[in-house]
Amino acid sequence: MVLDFKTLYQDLPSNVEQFLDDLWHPLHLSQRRQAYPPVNIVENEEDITIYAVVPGVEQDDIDLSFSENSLVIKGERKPEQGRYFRQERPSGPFQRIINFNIRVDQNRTKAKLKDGLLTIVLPKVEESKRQQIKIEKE
Amino acid sequence: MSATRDSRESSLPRVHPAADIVQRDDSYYIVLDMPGVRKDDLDVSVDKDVLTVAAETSYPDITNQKQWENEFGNVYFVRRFTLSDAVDRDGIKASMKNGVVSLHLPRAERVQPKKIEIESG
Repeated sequence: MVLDFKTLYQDLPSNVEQFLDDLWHPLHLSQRRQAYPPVNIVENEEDITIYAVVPGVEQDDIDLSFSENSLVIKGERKPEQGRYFRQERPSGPFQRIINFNIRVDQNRTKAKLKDGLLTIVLPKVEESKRQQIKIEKE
Repeated sequence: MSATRDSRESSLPRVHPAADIVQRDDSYYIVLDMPGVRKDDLDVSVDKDVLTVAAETSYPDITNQKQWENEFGNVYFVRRFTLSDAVDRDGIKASMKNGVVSLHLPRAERVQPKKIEIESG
């Protein structure tokens, strides 16, 4: 074995810490465990950006597609080869659907993958952008 | 070495990265999910029988933008493993790809099974 039992005990206090932390922040807990992969979504004047955390997933194992006004992120996390002593990292297929309430330009959508972070930039279509309306003087 | 790291104050929340430990051929591998960590920011060290893996994530700053969802943020990943004598400490190698750290721990020479010849008397 690579590890002594000591390592198992070392894990314990931090797990308790995590557990207590989750108790204090039930919202945080529900968000974290609900869907995979976890995402951050931000909006600015020009576009919507989705950040998804997908460690260990190769570019070829990610499938991005549009279905009406939602984006579908599909992929697979492949398990390590060999004899397992410990397995904590999830593996297997995953899917997450993100709905938009505004229209995005599907043809100009760009995605990149770096350090296990998938970044998808969806430009807004012209009519979805904020329009300033000028008030005419009488 | 680990003493300095223990006293290191990272303002980010400390998180234990999920780890797999597997045996393949004559080596052990520790694989850790550390998304958002740049290769240059990864810190792997061995102090006596304790192997420490630590790094801060570098996710893009989104605080000034309108947020729809916020399910993750920057963290300080840190995890320690106690090595047994079965590992060749000098031969440990680390690599990083797609936010996953792979540590290659070769088996120590003397732990490999050795056949003892029986001399005919």
